Amino acid sequence: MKFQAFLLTTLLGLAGASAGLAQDDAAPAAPTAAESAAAESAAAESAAAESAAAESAAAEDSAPAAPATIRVVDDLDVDAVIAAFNEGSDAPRQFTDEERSWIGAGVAPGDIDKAHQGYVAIPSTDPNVVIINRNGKELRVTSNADAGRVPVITPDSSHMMPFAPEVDNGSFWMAEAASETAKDVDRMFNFIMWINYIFAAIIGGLMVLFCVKYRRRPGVRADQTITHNTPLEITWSIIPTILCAIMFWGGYVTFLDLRTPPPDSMKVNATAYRWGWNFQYPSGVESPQEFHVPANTPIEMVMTSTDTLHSFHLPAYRSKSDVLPNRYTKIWFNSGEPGTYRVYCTEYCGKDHSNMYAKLVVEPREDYEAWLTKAGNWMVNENGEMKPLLEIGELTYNRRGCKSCHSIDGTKGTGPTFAGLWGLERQFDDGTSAVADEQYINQSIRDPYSQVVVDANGVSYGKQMTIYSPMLPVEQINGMIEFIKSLEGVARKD
Amino acid sequence: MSDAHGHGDKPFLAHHFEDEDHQFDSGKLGIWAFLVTEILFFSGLFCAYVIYRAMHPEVFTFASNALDTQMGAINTGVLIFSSLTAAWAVRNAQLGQKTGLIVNLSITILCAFGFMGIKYLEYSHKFHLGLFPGDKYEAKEGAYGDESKGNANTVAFTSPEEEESAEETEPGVAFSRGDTAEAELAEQEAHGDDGHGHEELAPWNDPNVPEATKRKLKIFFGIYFCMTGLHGIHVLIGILVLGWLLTRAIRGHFTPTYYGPIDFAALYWHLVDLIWIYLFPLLYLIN
Amino acid sequence: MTQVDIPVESPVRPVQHLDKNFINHSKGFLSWALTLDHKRIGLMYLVGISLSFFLGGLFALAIRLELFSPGMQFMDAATYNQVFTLHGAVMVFLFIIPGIPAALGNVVLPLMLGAKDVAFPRLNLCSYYLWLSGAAFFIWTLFSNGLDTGWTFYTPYSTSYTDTSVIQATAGVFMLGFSSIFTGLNFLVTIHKMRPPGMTWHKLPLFLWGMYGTAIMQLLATPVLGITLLLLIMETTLGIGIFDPQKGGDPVLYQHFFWFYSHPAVYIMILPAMAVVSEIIAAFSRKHIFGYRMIAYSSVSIALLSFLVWGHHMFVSSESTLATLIFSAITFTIAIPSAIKVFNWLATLYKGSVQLDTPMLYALGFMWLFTIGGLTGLFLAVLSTDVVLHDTYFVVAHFHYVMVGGTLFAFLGGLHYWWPKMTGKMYSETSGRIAAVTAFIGFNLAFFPQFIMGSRGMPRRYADYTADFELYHRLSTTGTLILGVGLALLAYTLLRSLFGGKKAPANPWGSATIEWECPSPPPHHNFDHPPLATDPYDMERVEWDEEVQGYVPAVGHRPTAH
Repeated sequence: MKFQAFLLTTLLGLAGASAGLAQDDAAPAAPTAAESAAAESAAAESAAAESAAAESAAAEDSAPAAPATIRVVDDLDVDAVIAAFNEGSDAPRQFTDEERSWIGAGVAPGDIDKAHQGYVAIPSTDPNVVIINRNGKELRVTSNADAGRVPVITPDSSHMMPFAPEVDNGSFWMAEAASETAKDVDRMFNFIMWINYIFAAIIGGLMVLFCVKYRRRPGVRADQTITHNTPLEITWSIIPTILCAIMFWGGYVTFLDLRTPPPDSMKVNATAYRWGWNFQYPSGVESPQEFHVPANTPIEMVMTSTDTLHSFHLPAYRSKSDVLPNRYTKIWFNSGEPGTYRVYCTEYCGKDHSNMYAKLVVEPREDYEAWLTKAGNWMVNENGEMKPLLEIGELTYNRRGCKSCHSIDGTKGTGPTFAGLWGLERQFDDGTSAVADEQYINQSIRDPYSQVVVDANGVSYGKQMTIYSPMLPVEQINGMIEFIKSLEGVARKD
Repeated sequence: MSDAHGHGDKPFLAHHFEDEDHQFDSGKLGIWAFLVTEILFFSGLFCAYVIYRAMHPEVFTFASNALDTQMGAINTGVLIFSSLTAAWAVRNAQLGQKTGLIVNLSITILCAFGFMGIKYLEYSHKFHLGLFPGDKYEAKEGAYGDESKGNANTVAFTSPEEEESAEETEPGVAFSRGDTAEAELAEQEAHGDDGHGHEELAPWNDPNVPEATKRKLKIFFGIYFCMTGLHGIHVLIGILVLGWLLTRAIRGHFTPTYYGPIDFAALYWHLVDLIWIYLFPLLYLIN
Repeated sequence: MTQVDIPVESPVRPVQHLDKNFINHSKGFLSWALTLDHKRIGLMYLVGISLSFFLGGLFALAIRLELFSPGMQFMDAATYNQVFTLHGAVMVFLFIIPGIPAALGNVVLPLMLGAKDVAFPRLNLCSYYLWLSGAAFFIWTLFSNGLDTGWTFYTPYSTSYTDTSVIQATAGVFMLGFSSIFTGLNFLVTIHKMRPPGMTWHKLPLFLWGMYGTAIMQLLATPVLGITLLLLIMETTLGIGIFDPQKGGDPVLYQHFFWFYSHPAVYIMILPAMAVVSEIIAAFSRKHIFGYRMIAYSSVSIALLSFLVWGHHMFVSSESTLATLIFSAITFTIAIPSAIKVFNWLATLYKGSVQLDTPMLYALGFMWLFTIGGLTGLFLAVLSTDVVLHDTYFVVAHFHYVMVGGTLFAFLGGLHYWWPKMTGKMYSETSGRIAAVTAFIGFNLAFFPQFIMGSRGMPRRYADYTADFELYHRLSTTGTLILGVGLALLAYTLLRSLFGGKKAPANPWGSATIEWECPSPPPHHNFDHPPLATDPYDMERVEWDEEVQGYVPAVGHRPTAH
């Protein structure tokens, strides 16, 4: 790992990039587990955090309207954060347990650029200050940091890459493996890599040697007698054949391991859609984007897609399978030690392909059970009663990825904004129109391509939206209708 | 053209060949290579056919009833006959029989037109019944479905229509092996009592047929139109080529030493014939 | 022709230049547009594919600049998707596949056979116009809605979920496919039927063996692409449902059809490259190629095996375990002929008289880059490691090493090698070498970091990425810029030679194949009489001649009087 850092820093210097960046990336990294645990274990009082919070308060005074400033906190103390958040406020915000757990859990899309996604964000009272904890490392604000906006801490702050970054814990070639099977795959990888090194050295070495030794010199002629040498040619055909046979067999055996789940594995269904993942547990609990599993348990994924092709890729477990519409594919992995891992979509699926992330959280069984209960009851309040439709709608808006395309502040996104939508006359790209009422919203959610809206310039929004009909129960659709109703009259900026 | 591509005394011997044999042999190899390409071109469709028939056997046997076996058989005969005249034309060219060549080429072209004419009747009948390739087209011309309900008996194709409905109990048996929705559909078809005579209602127009089943039927027609359509395009190309050769034959270009183009076009025509000989049983005769 | 009768032992040199050559023997637009001359058609292809390469290169540059930093720099995700799609589609269909066979092959193949033209000159012109129409459809795509499906047009995205111009693009690819088929058919027949006296199959230059293998693949694989795209068009326009899961179709069937073509297509791209490199390495080592038969047979075996390995693109696409087993095993068998070729080239260098001129630098660059590309291919043939690496930047790096490091470098090597023959002008050796080395360095810097980020998990076709991949992306972008500088210098070198270059001798490099026996550039009809073919790698047949600044037949090998 140090070698990698060294090599890349050197190469970077060669490439003429900034030294500050090199320092940033070459700095020794803390273990990832600690990062992800930072938010949870924040109960431990930390003087550093408090001082950082105080610092942020100081920054408020000095830079009221400046572009977003990034503050760095080593270990996050949630209480201190909340105190800082509410400091000087007339109506201090009450954070529920659930909200407390979101603090530091991530940054909402659009609120901060991708460079800072994966770092822990903390709300601050100053709308221009964003505090980010990245294990004590200084951060830059790139030009597209969305200045002047504070991360909205919502349940869906987990959307779009909310995990702690996987920092160089692996080898030069591979990120750290999270399971035994993954380590077997790495062994296979390393074996082939050594074959690569050896052959590249032989071929490259001989090439250079021959070019130098037999370079053209006056009076020296090429040896025309060497036109073939059957024993030599047979040798260099047979040796690669044997090596190939070994590699093939080794790869096949490890592949079978990757593909054959133990009989006692826990089954989780995953549904891919454009652009997100929905996980469903045996108990029926659904969880969009966030995928929690108990530690040291074999997990079997049963996956399908509602629209186009996707691919479920868990780099840490060296596991991947395409996810196809109208067909089920399966993979499995042993969850291993607690930690937070990335889930990528690796089959191109359209516009937001590169934002189609999910977070895999491996946690001790008790924590997992607790999370599962909480996740199952998201429509229910503390007293076990159903939440009001409006609240369900708002939560649905945040959970289901609506917010990544449809704003509520009137700005135009991939899809039209929800602000002031209710009761509006909608123009469709086939020339027809309709009034935005219950029927219209219901149909737009369930069968979006039947009525594709055009924007103010008459340009169609196109077939971008996820088809929700297989996923969204009626109370959530009704909730959405209530939610959109509640935004009636908000100014639109499209 | 400024490139002098010809030997002075032999107007059709290209400059880069040594003699007529050299030119003929090259052409022959070329056309055979081209025919291999053509077979592979169709192979994709045959492959798709095999896969979808294996996936939905009952849909294929059922939907095939909509195809008119009589017309298909006539077309098969027409094409086989045209292959004979094409081969005969080659013989005429080799022997230098100008009149025979012209007559045989003309018959071949007429047969090709006959084939396309019958195809046109078949296609227009299917379009009339709303059997379009693919759903979008049908959706666009939704009126066709209603129209066919009322007019089915008045169009010229009553007899095959009746023939087809008489056979409809048979697919019912096939459906009982398939999913139940389709079995029900076949049941309804067999004992239709929705006010219309069931002869008038093709299953793809019947409002009682579930959408899912209609969709599966569409796959059959998708494949049917792709295969016969692509074959039809090849027939059209054949007509153009043979027509061009006919004009050259009339001008007396072909001699016993220069008859390559006739030979090559005939080979192509045989392939077109051969593909139809496979298409006919695969699409028309599968129940 | 002004060639004079030369007594066998006469010191008179063969004709080096002619006043009337194929370039100036007739004038006017139509004399080019309607030409049946393979050399003119080849040059027209060369201009066309160079422009396509330039266009594809601009897209590549846009991709790399966008990825210089995380977050979106100057385009949005939708634009990025179009740019990477168009980069891939333009490069693959308009440049790499026709590159060596249609541009270089058209000029060189009949010359190498001592023939006056290809077997079917009209078909050849037809191929060119099909290529041009395909290119026009791509331009249409660009100016209508663009294309964002990826160059593979995977269903159901391409049929149901995109609003871009899939139909124009696939129709364009369909035409390009038939252009490729007709070129292959032409070459196949030409190699079979137009060989000069004395050229038995085992005296066929290796370039022709490579073109022969390529022709087989073009003939047998491309029609499957044709029908697949036709079905895709039917699916998009009419919705026949064959590939659409919503209608009972099977999207994976499309992948099978597509890769049944596109895997052989990978070898349609690389076999001609290997063929060019075999010629260059022998010529610049001034030594008989080592293991001629093994190289020749490996070309044909690669061509045939390439039809049996398409399934290795779908190891993670719900393919059955048995199918993955079979495809993985066959994939390894195709690695061996490729390895044999590399070893044979190495052995050709051994005890040679190696001259590092520009074509040789590209050929050596090819050898190294293709070795890396081939070796990293092992990771992708091994089932378990492919699962990790599939659809990551590792794959991107791998196929760029093979396609760009392999095919492009071989194309550029061949272009420099035959440039004097095609244009009759010598380019500046110094700036040619600088360009070659710059491109080599830039290429490695651009694509080697992609291996690392790929194996560390960076998925391909991502408009955006997390900060931990930033360093690799920055290196890659920097490398791309260096590569671009190298290629710009190359273009300058070659274009300048057209105006200020020295007149080229008939045989500047000392090669023993037949195309170097006619003057540079060749006359309209190439050879008055088919030359007598002997061993194409008998380098002692020619010797350096100070006066013409080129090679002439050695005493005892002077052309006999006709």
